[in-house]
Amino acid sequence: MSETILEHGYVPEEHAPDPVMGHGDPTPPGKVAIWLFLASEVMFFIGLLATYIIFRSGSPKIFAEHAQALNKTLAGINTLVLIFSSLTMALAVDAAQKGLRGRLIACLSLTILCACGFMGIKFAEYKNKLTHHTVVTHESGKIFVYDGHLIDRAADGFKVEGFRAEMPNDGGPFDIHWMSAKGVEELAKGAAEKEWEIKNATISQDITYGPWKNVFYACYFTTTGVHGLHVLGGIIALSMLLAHALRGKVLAPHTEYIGLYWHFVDLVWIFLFPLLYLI
Amino acid sequence: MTAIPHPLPGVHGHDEAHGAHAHGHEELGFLKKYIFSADHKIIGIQFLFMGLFFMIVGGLLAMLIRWQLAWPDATLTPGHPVPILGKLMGWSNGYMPPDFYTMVFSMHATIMIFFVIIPLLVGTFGNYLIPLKIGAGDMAFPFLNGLAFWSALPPGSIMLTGFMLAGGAAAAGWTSYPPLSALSENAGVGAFAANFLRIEGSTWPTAAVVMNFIAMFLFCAYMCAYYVHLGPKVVNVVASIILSVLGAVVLERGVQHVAWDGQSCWFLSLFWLGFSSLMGAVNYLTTIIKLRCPGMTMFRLPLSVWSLFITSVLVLLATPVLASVLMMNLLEHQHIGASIAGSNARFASFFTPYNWFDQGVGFTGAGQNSGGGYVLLHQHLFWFYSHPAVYIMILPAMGMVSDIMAVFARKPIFGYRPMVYAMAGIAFLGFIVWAHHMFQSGMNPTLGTTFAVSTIFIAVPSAIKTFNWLGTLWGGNIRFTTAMWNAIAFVAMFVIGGLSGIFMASTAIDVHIHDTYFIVAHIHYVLFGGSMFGIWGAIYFWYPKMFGRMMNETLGKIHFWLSFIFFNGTFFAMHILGISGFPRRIASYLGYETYAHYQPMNEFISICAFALGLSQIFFVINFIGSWFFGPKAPSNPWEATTLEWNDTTSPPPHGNFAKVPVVHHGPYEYSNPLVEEDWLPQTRYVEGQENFRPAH
Amino acid sequence: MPAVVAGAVGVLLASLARAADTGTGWGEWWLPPDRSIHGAGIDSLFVVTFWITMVTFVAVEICLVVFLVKYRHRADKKKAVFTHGNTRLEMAWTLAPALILAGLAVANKGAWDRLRFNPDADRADKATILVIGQQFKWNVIYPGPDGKLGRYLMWPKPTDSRWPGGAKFAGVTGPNQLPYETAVKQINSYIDQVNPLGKDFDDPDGKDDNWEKQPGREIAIPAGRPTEVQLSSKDVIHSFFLPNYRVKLDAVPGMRGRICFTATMTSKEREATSRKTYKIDQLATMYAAARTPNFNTVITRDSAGAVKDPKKEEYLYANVDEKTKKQTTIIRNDRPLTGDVITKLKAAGITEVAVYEPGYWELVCEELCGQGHGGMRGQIVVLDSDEYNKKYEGGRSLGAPATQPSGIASGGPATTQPSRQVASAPPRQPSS
Repeated sequence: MSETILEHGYVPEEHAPDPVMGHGDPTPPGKVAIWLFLASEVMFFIGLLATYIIFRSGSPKIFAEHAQALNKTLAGINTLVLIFSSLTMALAVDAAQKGLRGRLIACLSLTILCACGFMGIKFAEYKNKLTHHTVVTHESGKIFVYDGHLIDRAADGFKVEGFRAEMPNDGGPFDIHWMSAKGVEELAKGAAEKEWEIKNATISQDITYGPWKNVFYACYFTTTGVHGLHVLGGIIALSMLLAHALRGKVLAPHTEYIGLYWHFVDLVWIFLFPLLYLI
Repeated sequence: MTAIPHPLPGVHGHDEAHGAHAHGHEELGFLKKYIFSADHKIIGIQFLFMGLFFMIVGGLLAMLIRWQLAWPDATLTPGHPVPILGKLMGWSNGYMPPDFYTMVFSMHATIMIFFVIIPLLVGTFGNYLIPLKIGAGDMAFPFLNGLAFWSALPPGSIMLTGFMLAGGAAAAGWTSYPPLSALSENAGVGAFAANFLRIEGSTWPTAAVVMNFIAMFLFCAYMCAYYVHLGPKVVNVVASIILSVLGAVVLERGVQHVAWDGQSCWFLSLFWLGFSSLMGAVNYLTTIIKLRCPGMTMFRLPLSVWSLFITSVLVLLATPVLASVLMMNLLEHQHIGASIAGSNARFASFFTPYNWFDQGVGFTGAGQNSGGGYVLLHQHLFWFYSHPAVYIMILPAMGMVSDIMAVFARKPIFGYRPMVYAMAGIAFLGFIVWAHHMFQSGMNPTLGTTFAVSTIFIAVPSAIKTFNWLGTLWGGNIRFTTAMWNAIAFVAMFVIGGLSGIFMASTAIDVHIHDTYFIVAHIHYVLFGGSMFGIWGAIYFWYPKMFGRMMNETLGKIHFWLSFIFFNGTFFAMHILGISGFPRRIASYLGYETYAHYQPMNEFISICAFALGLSQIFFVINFIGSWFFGPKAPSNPWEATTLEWNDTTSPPPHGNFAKVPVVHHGPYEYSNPLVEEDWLPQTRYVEGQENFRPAH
Repeated sequence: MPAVVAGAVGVLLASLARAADTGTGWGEWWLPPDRSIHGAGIDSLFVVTFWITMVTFVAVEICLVVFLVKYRHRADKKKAVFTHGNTRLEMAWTLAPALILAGLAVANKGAWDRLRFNPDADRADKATILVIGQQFKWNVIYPGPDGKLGRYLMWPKPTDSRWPGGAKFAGVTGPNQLPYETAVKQINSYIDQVNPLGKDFDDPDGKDDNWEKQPGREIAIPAGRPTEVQLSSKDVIHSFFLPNYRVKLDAVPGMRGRICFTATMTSKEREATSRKTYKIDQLATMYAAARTPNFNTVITRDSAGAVKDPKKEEYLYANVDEKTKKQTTIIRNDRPLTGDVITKLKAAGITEVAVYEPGYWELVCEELCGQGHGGMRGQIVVLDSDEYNKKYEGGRSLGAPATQPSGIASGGPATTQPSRQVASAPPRQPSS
C-alpha cells in the first residue's frame, strides 16, 4: 500500500510516509558506493586485459614462449595465499557483523599477513626477473647470446649463470627482445647451465627481463604491478580497520566494504594467474 | 539547525563527532566553512571558479590559434605578426613558429575539455544541484566530495607546468596519438640544481615548483583538516601544516620523476584528474540512489538530475579505461637507464611498433624501443573513453536546458519519460561508437561499416530530445530571460552540430572530411554552441540561488547576443572550409594551392573569434559586479517548481532544508489548471489532486 | 575606442567580401573537383546527406523561431497549454529519423565498400606503389618491371652482425661489433646516409624497385586503371589525403595500409582542358582577388608580343630595350604566373596571355605528425596508362599478373612479348 502511495505521490502530508531516506531500501550508501567503485575498477582492468588480449592474439607464440620464464610455482602459491586471505577476510566481516572484536582482530591480522606474503613473493618474482639478463656479445669474431641470472658484478664485466649459445655470423635475424631462456637453451643444443663471465667491452647489447624486454613482459609487469598496487592499497585499508579494532572500535559496515574490495582484488588475480602464467 | 536523519550510524566517511547529523555541535571555522568545505554548494562554486579560470586560459589559447590562421606567415602581405607575444618570445619577424602553434592547439583543446567543460558541467552543477533538487542535506559523502575538488588542483598545476618546461607543453594534439606523443623530442634539457623540492636532474623551473607545491599542499591540507585530531585546534593546525608540507614534498618529488617533459606532464595530469572525476561519479550516483527525499521517485527527478545521473554512469565506466591508456603512455614515455635495464631503454613499448625508429634527441641511445607495440591500440582505448566523454560534456547541459526551458516556457517538459530514455539511449549507444573517430586510421574496414551503423543511430535519441524541446515551446507562455535565451541557443546550435555529425557518421563521406575543419565546426557547434551556451544559461539561471544576488538582465542579454552572433560568425564558415578538405592542425596553409585562397575566410573567422572573446567582458562584469552590487535575490525569483527554489533560501544554508521536503508531483507542473498561479511546486500538495487526470 | 571598433568592423566586412569573392562563382564553397571513379558515389552520398540535413535544419530552425514568436508571453496570457506530451508524436518522430538514417547507413555501406573493398584491387593491370610517410615528406617506391615491391622499413639492430646488403659502414661489417651506445649512433647515421627507407638489399623482389634516398619527389600514377597505394610510415602516423580523389588513409608505422582507386584524368588532360586565353586586365583582377589562380604560361611563336629566345627554340615575353636591343626576360613558356609578372607584362604592352593549370594534384598530410605537419605537401601526377607502363612498369604486359623469375636484372621489358599492344596517343602539344 505504501509503495503505491509513494508511486503516485498524491497523498496529504498527514499520511506521508516516514521521512526515511532511501525509499525503504535498507542498503547503506557506503555499500552502493563500494559496488560502484568496483565497477570502475573492473573497467580499469578491462583496459589492461584488453591490451593483453590484443597483443596475445597478435603474437601467440611469443607470448606462450616467454610465459615459460615465469615461475608458476611461486605464482601458484600466491594464488592459494590470496584465496586463503579471502576466506580470512570473509570471516573478519562475519566477526565484525557479530561484534566479535577478538575474532575480528585475528582474522584481519591473518588477512594482512597473507597480503604481505603475497607482496613478498611478488617482490621475489620481480627481483628474479630484473636480475635475469639476456646478453649478446661479440667475442673474437663470433657472436654469443647468453641468458641467465646475475651472480656477480665487477668493474669490467659480470657473471651470469645460465645458457650460452653461438649465433650464426651471417646477419640472420634474431632480436634480443624476443630471445627467451628457453630459446637460448634450445640453441645451445642441450648444453647445461653454467657460470659465464661476460666482459663489458664485448657486449653488443644487454637487456634484463623487465617491461622493456618485450611486449609480453610489458603486459605482465603492468598488469601484475597494478594488481600489486591494489593489494598494497588493501593492506593500508585493512591496517586502518585493524587499528580501529585494536582501539576498541568494530566498524562492521566498513569491514564489509573493504571485504568486497578484497574479494575483487582476489578475483582479478584469479583471472591474471591463468592468463599470464598457465596458458 | 538541520536534523536530516541518516539511515545507519557510522556510515559517513568521516568521524562520528563531525557527522552531518551533528551540525549544531561546533561552529566550523572560516577554513572549514569556505575553503576546505565539505558542503556541496561551496565545492560546486569552487569548481565554478576553477572552470572559469581555465576558460580564460583556454580562450586565450584559442585567440592565438585564430591569429595564426588569419595571418599565417610573412609571405602574406599585409601580414600581422603576433602582438606582444611575438616580441616576448623573440620569434623571427614576430610570426608563430609551427611547433609553438602545435602546442597551442593541443593545449587549447585539452584545457577546454578536461579543465573547463567537464568541471563546469559535472563539477559545478553536479555538485550544486543534485542534493538541492532531490531534497538532501548534502551529498552522500561530503568529505569525498571536497576531496574531488582538491585533488583536481594538482592535475591543473601539472598541466600548466608543461608550458614552463623547456620544449613546451604537450604538442601531439589533445588526442596524443603515439608514436608522435612517444617521441623524445622535448627532452628535458636545462636540468636544474637539486634541492628538497627538486630531484636530481629535474627539468622543472622555479615557477613550476612553486605552483605545484601550492596545489599539492592544499590537496594534503584538505585531508589534514578532516583527519588530524590530536588535541586543541592550534596543535591540529600546526600538525596539519607540517604533514601537508611533507606530503607536498613527497608528491612533488615523485611527480618530477615521471613528468619530465610537456607530454609526460600531460599524461600524468589527466591520469590524476581521472581520480577526481571518479570520486565525483561515485558520490553523485550514491546520492541520487540513496538520498532522495520522500516522494521523490526516480521519475519525479528534474531532468538535470537525470542527466547528471546518466553522465555519472558514463564517467564511472569510461574514465578508468582512459586511466589505463594514460598509464601505459606515461610508462612508455619513461626512459630507464642501463643500470636497471641492461641498456638504455624505454620502460615499455605498448604503442611503438617493431620497425619504428625514434632518433631521440638528447637521449641518444634511448630511441630504441623493445618493439611489438600496436599503434592503433592507443586509439581504441583512448576513444573508448573519449567518445563517452563527449556525451559527458553534453548530457548535463541537455538536462539543465530542459529545466530552464520548462521554467520559462511555463509548461511541463514535453515527453518527460522519452527525454529520460533518450538520454539513457545516448549514453548506451555512446559506448559502442568509439571507432568512428578511427574510420580512416587503417583499422579493419569492416569496422568502418559496423561503427557507422551505431553512430548514425545515435542521432535518433538526439532528434527525440530536440523535438521534445520544440514541443515544450509549443503552446508556451515564453518569458525571454537571459537564461532562456541561452537555453534556446543551445537547442538551435545543437541541431546544427548534430546534423553535421550525420555527415561524418557516414564512413564514405568521412573519407573526405576526416581531420578537416568540418570536424572542427562540428566539435565547436556541439561543445560551444551546445555545452557552453548551456553553461552560461545555467549560470544565469542558478546564480541567484548560488550567490543570493540577481544578475543584470541587460548585460546578460548583450553578452548573449554578441556571443551568439560572433559564435556563428566564427564557426559556421568552418563547415565550408572543411568541405574543401581544409586540414586541421596546420600552422600555415598558404603553401597549398587548394587552400591558400581561403585566407580571407580565415581572417573573417578570426575577427569574429576576437570579437567573441571580447564579448565575454560583459559576462565578467556582470558576474563580478552582481556579486557585490546585484539586488538581493528572493528564494524563487523565477517562479520555478523544483525544491531548491521553493523549500530553501538564496543561498541555502548549510544542510539546505529546514525540514525534510516531501514531494507530491513531478518537477515541471507549470500552468497546471489545479492552481491559480502558473506554477505548482513539487512539495505543495493540492487538495483533490489525486482525482485530477490531465488530458495528456 | 570607436576608431578601433570601426576599424575592426571594416576589416570584418572586407574579409567577408574577399572570402565570398571566389572568382569562379560559388565553386570554392563546395567539394573540390573529383578525379576518381569511386568518388562519384561519395559525392552523391554527400549531396543526399546535405539536402536531408539542410531541409531538417531549415525546418527545425524555422519551427523554433515561429514558436518563439507565437508563444511569447503577452500581458493577457496567464497560462500555457498544460500538456505532458503525446505518445503518438513521439513514436512518429522516433521512427521517421530512424528510417531515414537507416537508409543513409545502407547507402554508406555501398560507397564505403566501393573504396575499401574495391573490386578493382584484384585486377591484373593494377599499378602498385608504396608510399612511406616520414617527418615531413612523402617517399614513393615503385615496384619496377617485376611488379613486386621489396621489403622496407627494416632497421638494423644493435645485435646484427651485418649491415643490410653486406657493405661496410663505420669501419665495421655489422653494428654488433660496436659497443651498444656507439652502435645505436651508427645505426642512426647509416639510416640517414645509406638507407633512409630501411630497404632490405638482399631481397630479390626489391632489386628493381624504383626508390630514392631523398624524399619528396612527385608521385606518378596511371589514368584509367586502378592504382593501389600501399601505405606505411617511418616514424609517426601520417595521413595520405588526396582532396581531388576522395582518398584518405592513415600511414601508420608498423602497419601496411592498402587503398585502391582509379584516376580518371591525366595531368596532360588537366593542362589541356584548363587551357584558356585571358586578357591581361582579367588576369590582373584574378590575381588580386581572393582566389589566386595557379596558372602556367603558354607562349608560342604565334603569341602576340612573344619574342624568341636567342639561344634555344623557345618563345618568351620580354622587355626589349630600345637602344641596346637587349632582352630582359619577363617570363618563359610553361612557367607559373604571378601578380608581379602580370604587372610587368602589362607594362610591356602584352594584351593577352594564354594559360593552363599545371597538371598535378596536391597530396596533403592529414594527421598531425609534428611541427612540420603543415609543410608535408606532395604532388600527384597522372600519366597516360601506356606512358606510365613504359616509365614505371618497365613496359611489362598488363594482361597477366606480374611474374618474375628470380635473378633477372632490373630494367628492360619482360621476356614475354605483350600480345596486346596499347596504341599510345601522340603526346598533346599546346596548340600553336
